[in-house]
Amino acid sequence: MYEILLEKVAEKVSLTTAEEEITRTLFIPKKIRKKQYLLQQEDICKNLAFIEKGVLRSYTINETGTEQILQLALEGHWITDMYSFISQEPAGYNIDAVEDSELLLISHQAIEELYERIPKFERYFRILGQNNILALQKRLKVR
Amino acid sequence: MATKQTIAIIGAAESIGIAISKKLASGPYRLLLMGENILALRDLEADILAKYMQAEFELFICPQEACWEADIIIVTVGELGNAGLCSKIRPYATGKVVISIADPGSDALAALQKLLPYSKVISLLKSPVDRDDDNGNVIIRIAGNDADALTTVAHVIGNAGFRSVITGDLL
Repeated sequence: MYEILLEKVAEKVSLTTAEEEITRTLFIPKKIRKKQYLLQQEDICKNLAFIEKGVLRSYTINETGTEQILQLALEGHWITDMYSFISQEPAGYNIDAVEDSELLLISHQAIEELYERIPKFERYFRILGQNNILALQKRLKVR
Repeated sequence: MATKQTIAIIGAAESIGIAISKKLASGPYRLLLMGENILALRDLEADILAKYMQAEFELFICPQEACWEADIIIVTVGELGNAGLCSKIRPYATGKVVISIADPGSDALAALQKLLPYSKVISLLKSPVDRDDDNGNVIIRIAGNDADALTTVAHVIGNAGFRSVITGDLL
């Protein structure tokens, strides 16, 4: 259930066996069906999701009812409404499954515990955060 | 919260499970009804659909699969069944609220929390059931260590049409 997660983490930081075990206990394994919602607009986003298997997407629905996709996340990727997850304010995005998926969810509280107990994760998520900002900046340049 | 929560009821086709399943079928949940007896499950399915056509639920034989898809897990099998069941569902119940029906004053609850160390175990005390004299509403007593989990369970009980009272910690 945690293979892809640990593989992806190992690409950036090296965990001991004990640290891998702690990691497993802080993530919630969750199976979700195609078209099921992980998050709906206006909910408070409780979890950051890692995709072990499957495909999820995050999107908004504009005034005319058109869906505008922000992110299509595949296996080995993370997806969440970052603003809502960090601020614990209502989400601006919907997140649902494009196909049946297996996820590992980590709550706001659990990720702080993860950082506390395994400081290497600060580095891991800092690198992901950096990449995210670069990607967003690139998107903003596009006319 | 707008997103529909998924509740797995392990032992749905047994007497307490049947009662819980029927009560929750009217609520805003997707139910995963798990039992070993497929015929009893099908009877339950028919009963629920007869009363609540809009109910969203699915039948499961496998407790692991049911727990994997669930946000909240309700365990109704008796104490004797628990240890074996717990080792099966433990990996899929990590971080999730697990509601167990228990006799008050029993050690089973603390034992259950030990068997599922990474789940948030909440006990629902099945007897005695207090009645609120003013309205005749049934009050269900719940106990557990995790504040968020207690709030979640209080919501579920509220949606089932009951009132709940938090009696304290598990341990």
